[in-house]
Amino acid sequence: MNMDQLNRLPEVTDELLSGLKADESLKHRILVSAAETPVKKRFSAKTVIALCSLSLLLVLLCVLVSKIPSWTGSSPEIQNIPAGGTKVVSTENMQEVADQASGLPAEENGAD
Amino acid sequence: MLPSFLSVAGNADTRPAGSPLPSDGWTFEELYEKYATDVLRVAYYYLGDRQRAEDVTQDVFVKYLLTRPELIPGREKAWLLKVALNRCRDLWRSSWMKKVILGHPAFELFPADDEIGRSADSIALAEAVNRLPADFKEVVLLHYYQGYGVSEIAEMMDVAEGTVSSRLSRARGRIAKEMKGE
Repeated sequence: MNMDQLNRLPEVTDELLSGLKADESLKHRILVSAAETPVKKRFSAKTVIALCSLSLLLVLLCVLVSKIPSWTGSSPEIQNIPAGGTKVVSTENMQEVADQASGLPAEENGAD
Repeated sequence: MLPSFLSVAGNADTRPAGSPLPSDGWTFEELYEKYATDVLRVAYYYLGDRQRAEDVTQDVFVKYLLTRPELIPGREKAWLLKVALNRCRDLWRSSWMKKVILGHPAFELFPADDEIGRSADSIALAEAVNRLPADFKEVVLLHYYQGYGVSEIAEMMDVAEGTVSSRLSRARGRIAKEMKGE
């Protein structure tokens, strides 16, 4: 076979398949099919990069916050000084007592 | 009822109102008018079945409508053919083809109504191309029928240029043998 024949393939194909054309009915099929196909939400590359950057930033922020000592240290101690006195009273062994009205029996006050 | 962006009326732009034009600036109508027949014929050459070729063409253009790829100017047809060949390859490898066709499909010709005669050489050439193995047929169709260069075909098919050259060479050999009746 000489290669001229193969180079004639477009011409030969146009001749032999000239009755095979993409017509209006195929176009209509395409349009109907496209209309009926649910469109999947696609993320663009820019959106993906932005989301990744934001996630990375949040992670870095969390790591940074966890390393700040003043935020994770013990809570400040409140010093108690009785009125008129100068000595600091420790609150460690202080007993908490609920307020109770004086002069009435406990039952009438609703206390157990 | 078709949504407004898929309207077939006239040659108006088929994009949704207000949507930006992609860099290529092509409308569906323009692409279809210019390239759909080429896509259909390449798919037909590949599959040897008109209905399947039309299905492939439909899939290609539906994909274009749904994804609206930003086609590189001048490479619109290459994108359409690449999608078409991928689809053809999938179909060819599918169990449907193996079960229904069982080998090479009968290559029916579609001459125009007013056509009187065709040379035996032309028919023999078309049938020889059609009988090539799928990998060879792809490169022959892209190179000799669609006029793409080796490097363009390599890019479209994601293979090395050497592979394309080798397939072209072997395909030529097979066609020559076929046409000699060996």
